[in-house]
Amino acid sequence: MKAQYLRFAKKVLILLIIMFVVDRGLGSIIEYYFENEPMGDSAAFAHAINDPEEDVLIYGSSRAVHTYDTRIITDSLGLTSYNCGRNGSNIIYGAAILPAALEGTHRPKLIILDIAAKEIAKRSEKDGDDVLAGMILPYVLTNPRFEALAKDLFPKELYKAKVSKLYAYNSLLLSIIRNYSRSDNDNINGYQPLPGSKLKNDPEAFTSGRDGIDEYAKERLEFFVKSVTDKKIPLVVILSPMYTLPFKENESLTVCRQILAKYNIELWDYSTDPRYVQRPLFYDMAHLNTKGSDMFTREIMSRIKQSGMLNK
Amino acid sequence: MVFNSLIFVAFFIIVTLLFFILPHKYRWGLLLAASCYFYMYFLPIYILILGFTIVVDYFAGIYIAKSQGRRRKMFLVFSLIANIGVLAFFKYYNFLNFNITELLGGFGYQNPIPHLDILLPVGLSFHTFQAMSYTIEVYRGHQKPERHFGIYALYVMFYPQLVAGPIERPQNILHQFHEEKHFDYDRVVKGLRIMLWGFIKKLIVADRVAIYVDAVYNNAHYHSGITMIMATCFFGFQIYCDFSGYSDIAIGAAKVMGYDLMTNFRRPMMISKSFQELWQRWHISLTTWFRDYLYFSLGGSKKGVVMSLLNLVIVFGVSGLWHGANYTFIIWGLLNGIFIAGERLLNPFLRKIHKLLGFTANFFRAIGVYFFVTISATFFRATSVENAMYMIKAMFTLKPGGFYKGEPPTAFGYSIFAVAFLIVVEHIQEFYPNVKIINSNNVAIRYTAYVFLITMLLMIGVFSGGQFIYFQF
Repeated sequence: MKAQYLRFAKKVLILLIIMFVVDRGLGSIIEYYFENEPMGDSAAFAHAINDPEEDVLIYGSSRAVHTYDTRIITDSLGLTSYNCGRNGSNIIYGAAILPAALEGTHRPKLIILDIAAKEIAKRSEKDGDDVLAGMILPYVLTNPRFEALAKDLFPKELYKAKVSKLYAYNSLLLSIIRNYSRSDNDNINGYQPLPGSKLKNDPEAFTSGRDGIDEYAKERLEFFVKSVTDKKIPLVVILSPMYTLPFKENESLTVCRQILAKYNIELWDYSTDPRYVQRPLFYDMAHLNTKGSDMFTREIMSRIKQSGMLNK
Repeated sequence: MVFNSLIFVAFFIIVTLLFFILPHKYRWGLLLAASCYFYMYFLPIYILILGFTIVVDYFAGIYIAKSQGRRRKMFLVFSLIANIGVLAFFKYYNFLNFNITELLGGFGYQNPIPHLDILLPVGLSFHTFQAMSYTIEVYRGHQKPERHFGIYALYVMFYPQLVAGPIERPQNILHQFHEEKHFDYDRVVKGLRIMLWGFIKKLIVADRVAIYVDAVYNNAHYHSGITMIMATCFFGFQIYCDFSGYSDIAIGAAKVMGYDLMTNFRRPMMISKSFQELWQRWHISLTTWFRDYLYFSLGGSKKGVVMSLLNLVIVFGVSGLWHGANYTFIIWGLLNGIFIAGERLLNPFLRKIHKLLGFTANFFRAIGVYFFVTISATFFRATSVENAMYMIKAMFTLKPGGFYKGEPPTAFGYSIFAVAFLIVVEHIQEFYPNVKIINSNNVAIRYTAYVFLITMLLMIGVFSGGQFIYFQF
């Protein structure tokens, strides 16, 4: 009996050692290719957290990614620009990558933050946290800011990623292969155009929700605004157009406005602006298409110029 | 506690270690305590319901064995009423009440019976059926009553199969709890291999394709017919791998400790050449339960062809209701009953077609069975009959629109890979049983297979998939 126990323990140990070697070896290879992707979300993200040295930086979710055309911004303001937004993210993510732009010698001339109507509401979808964890996890091994963030938000996931490098890069293999093999780059300094429209219906009522406030997201929004204003960098916070009927302001928006007011920032609310809430300008209910984003970016640039904030 | 969680991994290691450390006479106590903890991890209060049926059935078993004639039957009926009563209250009360409301509403009356916010105890249908099989078998004289209360409680509560089966029979498992188990290297390794395959099915196939299936089924109106066909095809694999993955983990975990649970799935997908074969390979413990206790009780096939076919449809209809208190499940069950009854009727004709198709016949038959069963599964997945009908109509009329690749688009690639991997492995297991990879005698091949599978789990497994579908039953 004792011999059987020992035999089993020995085999388990051998398997664990082999697995450790494979995990570290294969994990390092994936890490290398992931960090050096020539295009795709990760490449744009790598720029946003490593060397965002443009004059105008845009932060936000997919609504930022598909709305602010960096070519128009550069053309209108004569300044370099980069869209640091990320699909599926919220202010927690934005606040985590912001310090990369504020620390060091480079100082941005303008920061644009695009928020959603439920920016700091508790995530209602059951997998909201999983989405965020999946986004952050690949960076926890190489970026201390993301490690700290994961420690706060997903300590168990951080622990798993530290134990297994392969786990940290879970589900990324195909996108890495894809980004190395394709020749079309739809990412223009972080801006991803969405041509055409999927919409077939008229605007519907927006479920503004009674989800309550995510206190952590609220704190992160304040951190974001304070960090930018403390550095005396002009900050524009925008609620970009949504393909919905006019809606009653929800708790999330009210609290966002209060935070912004504390730092003398006005929310530029275009959420249900009738000039934009039109089917030909939207790709889907949440995102402007290329035509819409062109029109909207031009309007924002014009307003920024009129405000004179860049001359201060 | 769900199998696909770190807490279960820790729980399994600790319980198994303690099991082999403790002398035989204390092991039932350990397993019972562990099973209680396992169950109470979901919702502690519901352990009382389980406790109630355990006490009732334990004494019912003893009194059934002691009694004769009508008295014997009375104790059985008492036990069945207690079990079905609990099941009916927690699972079917609101469904029944809803139907009464609808019926009375049709005549302009209000239903005075209140709606109750009842949370269904996890795995209620499974352990209730397992408990019922005990008293029925004692009544039929196939099983002696269990005098040891702790062992009987363990029979109902044995943690690997407590919440999603396999639904065991007392003849198979009860005596095993009395036998002294020793650490057997080969058996432990075999059990762990079965568990590993179960995790692959759950984390790489079921939870992976579920991302696509959920995205489509939860927003059906936005998707095209071709997308819905894809999602429905995936759903067939999702439910198979979710449930059989659970069974594999349960069977493997029990085997590590020396207990043999019954086989619950024998590779039904894309291999079964008839509906009858499919149901001989799918959820075997439930299918045989219904066969032994309901189909035979209704007369089986002894009362002529028409009654036999009718009995089949009834049994499948009840089986649908067993899955859930919703018309979608009943229709799903009835459809499968009609498929199998129709197949029996058409068998002479089907045999002729088989001859005509020659060696390709098996392939077309397997595809045909998969097609019909998957279409019927639309009712299993949809939240209402209207939704299911909408999906089916959209699929058959090829509702226009683009093809949805999933979000992110690579999700679709993973799903295709997962399903293809499953089909290839299961075909090798089924048709080339002598091909040994994970159980190869060559240590290099064996360890390469282990490392490959674990690496695959870490790289493409979905670790946020949550509960198993069958927990809700």
